[in-house]
Amino acid sequence: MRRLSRRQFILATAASLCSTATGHARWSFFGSADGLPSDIQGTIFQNDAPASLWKWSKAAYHFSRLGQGAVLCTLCPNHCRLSPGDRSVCRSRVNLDGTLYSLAYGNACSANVDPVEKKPLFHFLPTTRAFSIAAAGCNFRCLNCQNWEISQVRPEDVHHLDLFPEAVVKAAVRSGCQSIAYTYSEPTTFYEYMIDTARIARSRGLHNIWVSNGYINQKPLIALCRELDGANVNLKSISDDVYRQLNGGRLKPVLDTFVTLHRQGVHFEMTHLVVPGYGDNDEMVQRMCGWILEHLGPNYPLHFLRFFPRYQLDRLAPTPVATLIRFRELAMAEGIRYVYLGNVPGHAGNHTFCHRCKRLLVERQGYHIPTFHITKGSCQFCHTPIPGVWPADGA
Amino acid sequence: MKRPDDGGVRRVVVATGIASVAVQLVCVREYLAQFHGNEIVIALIFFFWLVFGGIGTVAAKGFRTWVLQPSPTILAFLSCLLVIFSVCQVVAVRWLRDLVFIHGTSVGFYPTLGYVAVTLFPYALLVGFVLPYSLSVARYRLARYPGNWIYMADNAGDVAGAAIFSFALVHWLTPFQVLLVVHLPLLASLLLLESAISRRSAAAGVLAVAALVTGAVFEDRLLPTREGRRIHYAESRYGRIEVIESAGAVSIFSDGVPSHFSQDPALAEEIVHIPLSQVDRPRRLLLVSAVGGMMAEVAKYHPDRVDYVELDPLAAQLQLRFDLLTPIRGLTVIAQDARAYLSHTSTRYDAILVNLPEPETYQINRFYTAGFFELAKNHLAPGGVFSFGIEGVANYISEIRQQKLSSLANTARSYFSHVMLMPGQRLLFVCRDRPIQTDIPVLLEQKGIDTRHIRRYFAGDLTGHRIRQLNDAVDPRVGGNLDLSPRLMRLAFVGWLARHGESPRWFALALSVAAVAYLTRITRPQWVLLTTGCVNIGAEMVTIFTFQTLYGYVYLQIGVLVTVFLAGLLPGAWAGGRFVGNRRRALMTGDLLLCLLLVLFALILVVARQGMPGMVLYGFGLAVSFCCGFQFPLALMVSGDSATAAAQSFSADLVGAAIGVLLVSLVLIPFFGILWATLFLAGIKFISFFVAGAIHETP
Repeated sequence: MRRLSRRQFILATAASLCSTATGHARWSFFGSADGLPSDIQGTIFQNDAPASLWKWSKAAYHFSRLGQGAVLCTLCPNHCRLSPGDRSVCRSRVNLDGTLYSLAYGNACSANVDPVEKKPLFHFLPTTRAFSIAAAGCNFRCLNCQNWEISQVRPEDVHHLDLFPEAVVKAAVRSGCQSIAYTYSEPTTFYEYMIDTARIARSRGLHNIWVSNGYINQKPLIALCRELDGANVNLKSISDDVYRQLNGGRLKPVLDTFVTLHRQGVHFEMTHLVVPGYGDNDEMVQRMCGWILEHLGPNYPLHFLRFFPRYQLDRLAPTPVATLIRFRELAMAEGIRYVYLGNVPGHAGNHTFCHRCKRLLVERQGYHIPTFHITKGSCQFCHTPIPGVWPADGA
Repeated sequence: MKRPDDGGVRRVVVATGIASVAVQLVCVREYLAQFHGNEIVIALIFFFWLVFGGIGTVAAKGFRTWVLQPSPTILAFLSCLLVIFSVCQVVAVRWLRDLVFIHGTSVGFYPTLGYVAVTLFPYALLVGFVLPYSLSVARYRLARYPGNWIYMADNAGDVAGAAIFSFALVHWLTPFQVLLVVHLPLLASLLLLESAISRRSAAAGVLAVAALVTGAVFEDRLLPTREGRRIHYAESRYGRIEVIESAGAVSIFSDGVPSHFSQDPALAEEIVHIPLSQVDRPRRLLLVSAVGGMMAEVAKYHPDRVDYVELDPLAAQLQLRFDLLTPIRGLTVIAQDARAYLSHTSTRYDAILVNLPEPETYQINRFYTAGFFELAKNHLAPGGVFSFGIEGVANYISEIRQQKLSSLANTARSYFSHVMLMPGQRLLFVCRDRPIQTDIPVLLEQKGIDTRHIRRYFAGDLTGHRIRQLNDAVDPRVGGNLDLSPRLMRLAFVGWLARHGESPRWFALALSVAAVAYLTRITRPQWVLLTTGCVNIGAEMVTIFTFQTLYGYVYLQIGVLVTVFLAGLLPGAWAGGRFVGNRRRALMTGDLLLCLLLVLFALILVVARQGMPGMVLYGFGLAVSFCCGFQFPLALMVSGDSATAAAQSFSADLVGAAIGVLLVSLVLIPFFGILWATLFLAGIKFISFFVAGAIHETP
């Protein structure tokens, strides 16, 4: 009988350690191997473009041509460099013969009439309705996306409603909406469709609302701002790590978007989804409020939304209501004037109080508003201007 | 034949069998708790277990010739290593998840595949290695030691392990306590193994005991972290339950997923008021499971009687204890399977509200089938309402969702004159034989019932347009969801892949290539064993799924099924080992018998359906496993019964089982239904019959 020698044992141990180390390196397939948070940023889809254009194709408004037929999409900070036949990270743009095309023009996959409060926009023509449209695609990869069936697929893979800009505006007017909301998926990815619709809508007296992750480059954003009346932009976190880990994006461009909207005079509201375990701590909220106050001022409404397990992020419990209430109080103590709670029905955090006299101005019972004390954009009691787009202003 | 003295090797093999089956069952449970496993995950676990076991068995043949000579000391050392690996494996399953995946996320097919493979590899490989190695240790002592004896000893251990776990341990012990208990016989058998004690094996033994005790003592601390404070932890017969408190909110996690939570009045209101508002005066209500805050909403109707059926009594108990459910007048908690309850009660209800999770497992799917809808319909009072829900539709109805809701709506429409789909937090199916009204706030106002959510948000969230859109999406061409042909299961599989942007084609391709490569290298007797392994586990899967479909996920009895499928192997192997006639013909007879048994089972399925008695399933399991066990020693002896033939035969059996588990669980049952899966297995054995006929017996 031959026994294991000491040398054989050492060799065997070394071999197993090496295989363990190699195995660990390979785990980057699942997550990061460098100790940093995982980055789930999307990648371009090589040779995934359709063979030819379809009726919903439109040459992109923001791109530059590179050598050898390649193009650089300059719409969003992903800066997709596409060779002929490639598809962008957002899945809705392709390079065909050296030109960048959007495949989502007039290719809406969802259209609904929603209360404007559902966006959420609390300081924008309360109780009015927004004709809400979406096309497939998103430049993020949010793990908790509730609309992943349209945001994480190609325009070719969804049902088509065939609503070109003119038809959208007509449908909005027909349904008695005062505004059109570009929403559900990421409207930046159907930019051409959105901005053309917005121009027609504005000419017909309709308002335009952009509900976005704010991941857009400055030039297209400034052009868009000329057509916008309101926006709700997600500030998913004040941490770049969380953006990388849960959303597949970066923080800086989103912050730039807020600053641009502010400078362009577009009314916007911010939403922050409080995901348990990912920034549900006071320090993060204080840091976020500090940035808002420094760069945007205290007037833009901030909505803390309650997280519910969704899509791939479905193994976390919903955010405790007490946490949201604490964050609201914290944000107000920091100096943000209008802080709301989302997905918490019946709480006072749904109402608007004058930041000066503290009186109740807008009482929200869901989508009903039994109490409304704002006249000509000012508090009825102390005449302090209340930021937003109010009926007298927008009529 | 007189039993030769093997120095206690057979005892070690029996004890290893006891421990390995229990470890496997503990691991299945761990993976379910970490991955909220459906049958796909279970199939992957069995698959890798079998594949790595097969590799270990083959490795035993080559490896021992140049490194490990047969030795009781090394066998003892390896067995201690097995004990340590079992503890490390459970710890790894619990802790690695958050290291390699993003915390809080569900995981797709390929990452699950990789994770299961990596974490199972050391134990499964070693356990596969130990079996043929034990044989070589026995043969080192006694050259003509029959390989079949080790096979039988292993089977005896497996049967004992499955029975001990299913009938006793699972009821009283936590996972690490189970590991401690099931490894005691192994450690004892090592002490009795002749010439096994050396410094090295003794040190390994001490380490093994230390690992087992540490696991059992620090059970709670070895659970994965959650956001908040874990205020209760329990292993129920149906899964792992954790109660987490965070900032005043209480959530119950079932197998790692938040299943019940407080502070969600919107969901509670929708699932109660949308159906109950349809009924004039709901007096007798049946709730199949519940969500937090639901009882308070139900109480607004002042019912005389509320029967709340919850399969897991512990889940119901915890919901009441942690105030997720408020006890109300007339409430009776019934800890029973709802199908079983409905099939024997004569009570007729004004409303039956089903509040179960998504139908993504066979356990849950049985409450979304024609069989259950018919049962519910028969227990409704005139004018009564039946409702159930699936994951809500936000703003778009995808192809898969459309298929799913169409299948459910079409199934329900076979029994109810009116079926209305209502959007909301969950997509509710409201079914009754009288017209259904959609203006819920008006109905509630008429009844004088106040709500926090519906009154405020209904008009904006559940617009006429959205309700119409949803109901118009029902495609009448989509087939129904049946007990024996669960359409929702295949949609769940496809949906899971879509959710993670994956396709199983690469896995299927790689597996097919590997299978073809393997099949071209094996001999005819091994082919027979491969199909035997495939049919044995395939029939076991068919039986488990049939059992689940007919009787529900009764953990105890599924343990019994696993046991009967192991129990037949042992007498079968014994009979095969003693057989002295024409072995080739006996193999063919075995194939034919298996083929006939499967066809007979399919016929009984067609004829008896819901009426199939449980005894038929047990009898079927015993008969199939007897035939499979009978074939193993025959094929082994036909192959020459050398150490090489033994290793190859063991691995053919294991590889066949690995193929069978994936084929039946992932392809045949979800896509073709239980009946066709059974007939497919019969077809495999029919082919094997001819292969067996072409065997040239080795003298």
